Amino acid sequence: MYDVLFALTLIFGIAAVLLVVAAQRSLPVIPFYLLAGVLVGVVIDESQLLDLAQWGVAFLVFLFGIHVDLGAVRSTGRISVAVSIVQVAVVGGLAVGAGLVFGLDATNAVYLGVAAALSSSLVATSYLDSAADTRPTYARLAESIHFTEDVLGVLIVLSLSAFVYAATPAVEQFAAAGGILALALIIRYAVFHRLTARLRGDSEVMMLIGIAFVVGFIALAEAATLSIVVGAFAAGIAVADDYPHSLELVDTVDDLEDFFSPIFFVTLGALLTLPGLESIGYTLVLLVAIVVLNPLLAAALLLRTGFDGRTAVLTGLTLDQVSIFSLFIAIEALAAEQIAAPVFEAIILTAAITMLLAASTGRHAESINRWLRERGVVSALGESVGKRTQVSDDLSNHVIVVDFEHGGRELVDSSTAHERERPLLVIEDNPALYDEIREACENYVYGDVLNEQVWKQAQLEEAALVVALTPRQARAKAVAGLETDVPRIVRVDTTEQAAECSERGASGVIYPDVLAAERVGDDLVAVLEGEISREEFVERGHDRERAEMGSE
Amino acid sequence: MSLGGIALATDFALLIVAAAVLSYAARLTGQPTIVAYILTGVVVGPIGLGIVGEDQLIEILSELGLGFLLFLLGIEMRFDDIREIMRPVGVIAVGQAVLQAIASTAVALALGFTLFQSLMLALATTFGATPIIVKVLGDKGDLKTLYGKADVGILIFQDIYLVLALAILTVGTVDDTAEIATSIGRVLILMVAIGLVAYAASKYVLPSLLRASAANKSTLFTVGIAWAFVFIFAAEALELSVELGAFIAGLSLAQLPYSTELKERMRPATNFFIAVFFASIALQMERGQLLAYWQEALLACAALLVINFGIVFGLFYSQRFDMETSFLGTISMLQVSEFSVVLGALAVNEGFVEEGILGFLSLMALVTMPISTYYVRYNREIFDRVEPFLSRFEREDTIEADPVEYEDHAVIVGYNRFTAELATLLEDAVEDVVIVEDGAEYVEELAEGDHEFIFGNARHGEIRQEANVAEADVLVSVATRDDVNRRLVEETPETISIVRTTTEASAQRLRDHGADYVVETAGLVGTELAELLATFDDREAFDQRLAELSERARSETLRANESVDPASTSRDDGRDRTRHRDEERDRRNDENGGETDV
Repeated sequence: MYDVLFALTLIFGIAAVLLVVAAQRSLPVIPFYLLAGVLVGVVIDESQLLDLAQWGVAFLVFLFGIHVDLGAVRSTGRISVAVSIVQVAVVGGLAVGAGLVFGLDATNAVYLGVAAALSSSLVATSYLDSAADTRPTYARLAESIHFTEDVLGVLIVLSLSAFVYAATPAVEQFAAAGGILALALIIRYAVFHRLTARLRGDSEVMMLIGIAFVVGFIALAEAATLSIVVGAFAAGIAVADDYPHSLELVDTVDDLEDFFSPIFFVTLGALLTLPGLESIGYTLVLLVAIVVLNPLLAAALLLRTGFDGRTAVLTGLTLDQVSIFSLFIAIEALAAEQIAAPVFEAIILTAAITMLLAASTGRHAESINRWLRERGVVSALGESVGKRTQVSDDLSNHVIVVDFEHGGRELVDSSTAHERERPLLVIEDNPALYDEIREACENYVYGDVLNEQVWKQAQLEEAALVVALTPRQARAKAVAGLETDVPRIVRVDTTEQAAECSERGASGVIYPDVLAAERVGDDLVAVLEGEISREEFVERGHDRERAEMGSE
Repeated sequence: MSLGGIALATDFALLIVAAAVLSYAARLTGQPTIVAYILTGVVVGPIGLGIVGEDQLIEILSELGLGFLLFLLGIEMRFDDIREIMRPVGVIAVGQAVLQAIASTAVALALGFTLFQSLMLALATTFGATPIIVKVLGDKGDLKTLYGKADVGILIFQDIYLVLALAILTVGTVDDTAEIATSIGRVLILMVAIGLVAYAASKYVLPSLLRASAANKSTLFTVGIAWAFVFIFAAEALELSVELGAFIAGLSLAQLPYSTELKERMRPATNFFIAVFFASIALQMERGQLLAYWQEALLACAALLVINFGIVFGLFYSQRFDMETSFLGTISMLQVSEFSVVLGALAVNEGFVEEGILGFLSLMALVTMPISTYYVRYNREIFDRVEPFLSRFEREDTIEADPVEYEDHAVIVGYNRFTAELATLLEDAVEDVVIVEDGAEYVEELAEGDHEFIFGNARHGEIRQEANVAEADVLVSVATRDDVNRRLVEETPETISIVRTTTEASAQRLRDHGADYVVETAGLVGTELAELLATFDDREAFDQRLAELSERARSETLRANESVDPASTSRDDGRDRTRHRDEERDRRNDENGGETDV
């Protein structure tokens, strides 16, 4: 007991200090956990923590499984699924080849390939994490690519336990895994809600049921000699992430994960030893694959499917870190004594380096994009401009609306409803909205506002007004700073931003919070003063809403 | 190195699954989960099926569970909540501890236990069961009533007493009296030393440390855990009780604004581990040990109910609480607590008593806890039956206490320009404007601002309760999560609710679930611009409106306060109902010739 307590105190103590540092600089936490592990590993015997560390893996994968939203993948993800499969196959293949050239056996070359190819949402969410509505196209795209790679990660774990670790024939293993997943789906759709409905929001019992699911499915997986990752994933599938479970079950498991996952990462760090020349060599191979190949390949693939240059580059840049599944695979391989020590070390080391690097590239993505564009890399990768664009030749005195999704739709609808004569032109960079825009507008340009070409197509110099409704600060600033005499109105979300955009040349700014306060404030004062009844208040809220929908 | 199976047929996994099944059953039958956990150990342990023995993971987690439980108990110790009734409650708590100890010793002696055993039992059975009292009263919404506050106050005093008892028990068995004295002296000195360190930390280190860690959701949690572990480990290293260290660690966080959020973040892990702890109690027990004194246990339960009722009720009454408060406050406290089992387990570990005594205590807990949930739940109904007999003793000069919770207030979830503007508008219309926000960057601004401020995320029930969301006059939420907004509007059917959201689909959902006024940002911006563009050809009007909008966006100052006459504020039905209940009680009291305390 004393030893375990000592180890846990040390783990959480060091982790806490490092986390405070990480939080101050907005850096990702996992590299710091690994670093803490290296420090802690000097004093403690990590083998006694392996049980707790495995629970960390179980909860991480369980939560991932819970968040799997099959419907969303089906509707938006076809392109990302294709892109990620091609990217994983190409980069993975190259890295396996490099491993073989280095003289590794086939299994270890595969480990190297997996580590090079996969990126993970579990890591990337930390900097992709922002309110859904302000999430730009590239973040959504990145999310579904990461998601696909996580699922590939589960499949690779499964294949490894079927082909490499197991003594029994592989086919049976896949059948068993299929059976477990089928059971999970049955529970999700037929049993889960009936089970939880009677608890009426008791989060304590809900949490225990969640944990019991994890334990139960892991037991099934172990009985079939499958990895616990497969079991925990199935357990996550069995839990529906809808209201109110998202509050009562998922959030509590999330808090539990915060307890166990540091133990996993720190233990992983503690398993590291001083890297030798061989490990450093593999690390370099992995770094080249992950930091250079992955982003460029993904960007090139996205450009081929019709995305604009900026979205493609920014999405590519989110793929430059090692996946958490590669870490699971590494620790399982270590336990099965299948992985060579230098390969293991290289994977962990690369994970720490790339996760830190990813935080920095994420922050400087815009300038990296500009740099690549200036050097002609983006056009070399195959950017095409002018597709999905329709502008009538005699267009002039028009209003250019940037961003269809954040108010542009309502603006266009209202203009159509009132049969206003002034023509509108929409600039949008999300291909998912393309069909809707084509329906609603006569003039539209597909592309990014940071690209001068786009403005030429939009006939900026002929326009009467530019309205940028985008909540993304960088793009609002770009519109405000356009070198033109055409008046520009941009949306801002802070007072400082308002001042900055005005300074850059915007003729007006719109601050939604202030607008909302103005509208709601009047009605609220009226109802509180008794001028209108609560019913009238509700009615007014609806009327405004209807007005906003442009169907008055 | 080998990973081994972590789930398949391991004792830990079986224990968890059994606990989940039994607590599910307990929940369906309205029983406290603690009863289910203790039963879990009985069912799967050597007493029942014998499929689970003790293993290392169970041991670690149960020890952590106990530590975390005490840590949370420490965090919950907010003296502000009971300040007004501190004195009478203190008298009741101390009186109860002394009188009940004497009575329990007498009962135990009469049942044939040795003097030492009897003293041990007396020490262990004086506590009320916090989880039951807090949970059942919380479910009834009675925690903030006078009797609820009095009970919570008594529990706080009992916690201090418990911590002392734990500290003394860990001294272990020693024969020589002088040695005992030195050991206890050493314990007390070390306790004071740890306490001083904790106090100094809470004054000088923790505020800035937590302020720095509140920036990230995992960081606050990890720092909290680390804080607990440092004290737990220090206590272990100094051969003090782990629980004591955890309690002091919690106490040092209690008075800081981050305490509720931190507590709620740690609750799942604590609930999980404490389930393991209670389930593990019976794992060390043979059937003979649990049932060694079953007749005595049943007799003791009956005696405990009758005698303790007399003692506590008398104390309440003597402190000038009115009849209803005294009665309700008393019957909530009548059960053997989980801490009795904790103390018993520790006493067994330290070799003070044999397993049979722990069995006796567990059995008493198993019997009294489930029964007590029923009489706590139906306490008012029981009171209505006995009131005719009690009302003749009703005093005239009973204690009154103002509720500490917010009333006639507005709750604002999330702080931004929109809500800040509305908060200014609401200032005059409601008693308090309570802002709930978990962004670290606003802590200083809000803590020093004009409005009430709760640091925390509205996803936690506890935070919503602290803000008394359910009884607010006005609710404004800009929470980013849809499910949090939905929970908020579902909890406030009577409240004027304004919610901001981002998509039309979620706006519609929120309206369907009872939101009065939904602001959808994209639509709002689109419409505003459409209106603006309509004036585009009238350049003067256009420029004027645009300048107005831009000016407001650039200016830091909020819109001029528009004063609202509080007298004409619309009353929400929820409060009217409360008032009705109070009036009804007034009338009832009048009919009975008594005075009212409200």
